[in-house]
Amino acid sequence: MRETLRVHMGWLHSWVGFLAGLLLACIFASGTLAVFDTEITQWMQPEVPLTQGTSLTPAALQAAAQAVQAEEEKGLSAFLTLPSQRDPVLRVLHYDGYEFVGTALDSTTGAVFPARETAGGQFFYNFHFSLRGGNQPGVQIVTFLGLCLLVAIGSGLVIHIKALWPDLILFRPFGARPRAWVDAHLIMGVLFLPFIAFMGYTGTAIHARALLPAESFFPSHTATPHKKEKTAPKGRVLQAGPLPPPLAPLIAQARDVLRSPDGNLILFTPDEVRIFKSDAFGPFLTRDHVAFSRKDGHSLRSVTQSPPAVATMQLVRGLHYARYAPLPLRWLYFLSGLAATTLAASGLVVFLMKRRRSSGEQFFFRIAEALTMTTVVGFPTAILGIFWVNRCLPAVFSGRAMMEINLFFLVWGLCAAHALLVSLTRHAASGWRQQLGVLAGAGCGLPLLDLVSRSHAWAQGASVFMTADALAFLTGLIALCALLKLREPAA
Amino acid sequence: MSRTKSPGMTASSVQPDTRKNQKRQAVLRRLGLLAVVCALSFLTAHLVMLDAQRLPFEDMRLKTDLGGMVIAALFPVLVLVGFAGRRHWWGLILGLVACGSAILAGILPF
Repeated sequence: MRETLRVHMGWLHSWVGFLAGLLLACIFASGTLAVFDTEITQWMQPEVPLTQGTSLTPAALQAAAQAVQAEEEKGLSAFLTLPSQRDPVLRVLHYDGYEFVGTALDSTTGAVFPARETAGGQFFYNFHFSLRGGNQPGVQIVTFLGLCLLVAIGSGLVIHIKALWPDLILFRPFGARPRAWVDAHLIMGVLFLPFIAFMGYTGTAIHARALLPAESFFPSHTATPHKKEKTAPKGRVLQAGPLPPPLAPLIAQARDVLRSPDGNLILFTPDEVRIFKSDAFGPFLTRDHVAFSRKDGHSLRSVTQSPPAVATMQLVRGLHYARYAPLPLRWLYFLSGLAATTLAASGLVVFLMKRRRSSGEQFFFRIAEALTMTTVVGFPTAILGIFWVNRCLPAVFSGRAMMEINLFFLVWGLCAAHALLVSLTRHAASGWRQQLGVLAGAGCGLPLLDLVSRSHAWAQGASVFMTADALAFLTGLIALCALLKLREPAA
Repeated sequence: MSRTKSPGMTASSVQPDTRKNQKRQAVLRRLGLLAVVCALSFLTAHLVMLDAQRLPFEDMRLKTDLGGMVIAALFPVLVLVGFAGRRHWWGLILGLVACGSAILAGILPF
């Protein structure tokens, strides 16, 4: 075969796309869910009512300040998120090494809601950028995969640049199977190219320092050893500060300066109380804040201006994190994320279809098929598993957040083991059907489980519960359709 | 790339073996080229990140952020160009030039 540029780039696109795509599909899927992380947490904590307003009373703030100090005495660096339109609850949170977890308070009385411990939507957010593997190697792997994604996009563009317009409009879902999958891959890739390229670029740029730190790989002998200051690990404090002054007047003053009427974040250091502008006000993810003395509450400084270079990074972060996005835009992010997930998943399937006959279904092909099954069907099954576990475990169970996460990985691991078993014994086709059956059951059964569990009143925040249940049901239906399609003889 | 058997193949079993060998060699060549290009691109990206520390900003985080933005754009381009430019090795030469420029930017005072 003649080694044309197209063939050469096709090889690069196939292999980089497949190897990176196995995890990229999971990263896209978890990122898509992370768009609605707050709403997922609300679904997973049905005891917290969502009908409160954004108003705050001094009593609630006093209770929150006491809760913060109690957390600091345990060595945890706690902070407050004030009620907003999106999350009308006062929350006292701390970083547990992976997620921000904590209690929800009534914004009127300051009483703690007896909400169940849960990993919530924060789990998907953490998985999206670190695969829950911490900074090393989790973030490094995801950043490397981001670079692979950009290479795959570039090589894909070179392959299809002549046919971008036909690829945009041509979709033959009822054609022969390989044709339909290729069409799905191309239409998603072309139609959502700007979004996927932008998200891939910004995500990689944000975490590039994790992969390539600003320290030389070749240490010089003349350099003096860096003297490290004694600092607390992330999410911890070395010493607890005094009880903060009344927060209500400080919040009013800060909101005036920051022009941010709700949803502010309040951080505490042993000497200062810092009130930050809400991320919901504009695409710039600013760190504008007003700092007050923790002893007497007098204003220390305000930071409300950023130089252009800083503002650029704030915009890059803001557009990637989408915390500013109103609901319609959030749905657009969600749909685009789904398209990216479909792109990666269909790419994996196309890779297998192209090689099924030529490889003679040898050992490595079967491993590849098992890995694809684990990603395409096993990962959504594990996601639905976490929702099932949330409703099935007793609400008062201690350490249930960690148990939810462990069970997520257990379900995913079982799917992987099953996929390997059926692929290696040459029963991959029935393996696909079995896993799709489980996914269909988990998806279609979730609304029923939510209804039967009677964990919440449907009048309170009904839209959150109904939407989550409907999406799970839709996932189940899609899996069922795929299962029925797989039972038909190939065209 | 299908390996459909033709009836005439029994006449000579050397031809499929040769083709198989050629294919294997082509894959090995591609893998080798990809490994060299990736190593060169990583080295260049690392040097760019070090060079970013010389930017006139006080905030260390901002410097690494800006370095990261350059790397995220530069790395895929270097890999693609290095892998695509096979005639006269111009892709690799371009990668070497980029790497050399990053080294010079780190050495030269500015």
